[in-house]
Amino acid sequence: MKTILKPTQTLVYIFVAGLIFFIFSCKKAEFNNEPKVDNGTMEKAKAYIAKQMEKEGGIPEIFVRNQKVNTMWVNDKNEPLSQ
Amino acid sequence: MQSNFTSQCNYDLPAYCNLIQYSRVFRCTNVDSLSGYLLQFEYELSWNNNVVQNDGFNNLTEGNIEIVSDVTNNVMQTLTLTNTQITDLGPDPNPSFPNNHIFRVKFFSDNSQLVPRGYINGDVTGTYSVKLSANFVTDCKQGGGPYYLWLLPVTTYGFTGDRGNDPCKRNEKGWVTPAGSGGTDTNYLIIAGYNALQNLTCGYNSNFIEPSLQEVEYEVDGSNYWLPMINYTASGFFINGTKYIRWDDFAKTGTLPSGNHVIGVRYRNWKYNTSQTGWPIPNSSNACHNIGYFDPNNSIYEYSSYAYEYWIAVNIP
Repeated sequence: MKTILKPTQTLVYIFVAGLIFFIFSCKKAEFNNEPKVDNGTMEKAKAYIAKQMEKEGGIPEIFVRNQKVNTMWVNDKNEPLSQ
Repeated sequence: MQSNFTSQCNYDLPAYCNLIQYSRVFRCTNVDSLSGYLLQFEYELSWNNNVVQNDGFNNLTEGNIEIVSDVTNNVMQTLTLTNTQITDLGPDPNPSFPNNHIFRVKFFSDNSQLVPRGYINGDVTGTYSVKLSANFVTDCKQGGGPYYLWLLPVTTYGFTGDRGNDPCKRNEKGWVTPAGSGGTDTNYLIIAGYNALQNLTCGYNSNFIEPSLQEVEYEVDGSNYWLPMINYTASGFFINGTKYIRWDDFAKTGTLPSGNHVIGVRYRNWKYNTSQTGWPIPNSSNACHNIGYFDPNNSIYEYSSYAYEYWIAVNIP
């Protein structure tokens, strides 16, 4: 028996196939955007971090602020200057 | 990095100047008297003059620290910091200041300037306050005596005593490895947890309470659109593939666009309220996080919760 698709049914199939293709393309793009880290890169990163730690003298504990600071022009004795 | 834009030299004051963070690093040795804290602090300002380390006449950009007794008001220790890092983040996007660039200026103390732990954590005499100020020199000098932009002293808060030992009121350093030359020669950045190399058992004082996790994000070219960095070393745990890392985990950005870019990285602490299994993703029900310290006695202080780092002209291959 020969199956004949109606035009509307065909359009639905084409749309679903297109949708599946689109979704998998996005997945692939997403996957490609996530770089793979190899052992060589990890070793380089660890060496870099070791140098930074040595430079800092340890592990900084950071206190974040956004504290306004007033400024003025002064001479070398911290006396205010006028222009 | 020194800036290459032309100073206006018209005695304008900065459009703004903020103390954005300060850090303490406990340095220990086998000799107790040689142990103590290294201090660092950083300003951000928008200005139409270059900030330079040395104006060519031996006038230096300097940071100043005063440790003051809260009991007697006596100045117990003063430090002058000439170890400076000056970073030009580029033009200020605020159209009201078309000639301004945004600078970050950071000061570091060195091993000859250790602060005794009693001044940070308190001792039998009482507690202490830490006051920070700075003098900036520019490339505007045209003869005559030296002159400076003086950043008036401000007293730190939350830095000393018990407040400083709450992991949700501070951030541990996240270790960023830049991409491109000088870093990993890759087209992505890597960040590691605060003790990723697991070789610093003596990096803290005895009061240290560790955070559970650090939340890490990044942005490109000042977009202020923060994307999660991805933990790729916590295999088998809930936080694997998320933006949360443990003290020895690593996380990466997505692939970055090639060319020169300014990459921003930010991170903040989280601490579980109770013991957890499998390192679940933290939320406001099971953990606290750094929301920035708010001083109820002085509501004018704005606060921020993340520590920010910027990598200038990162040359992505």
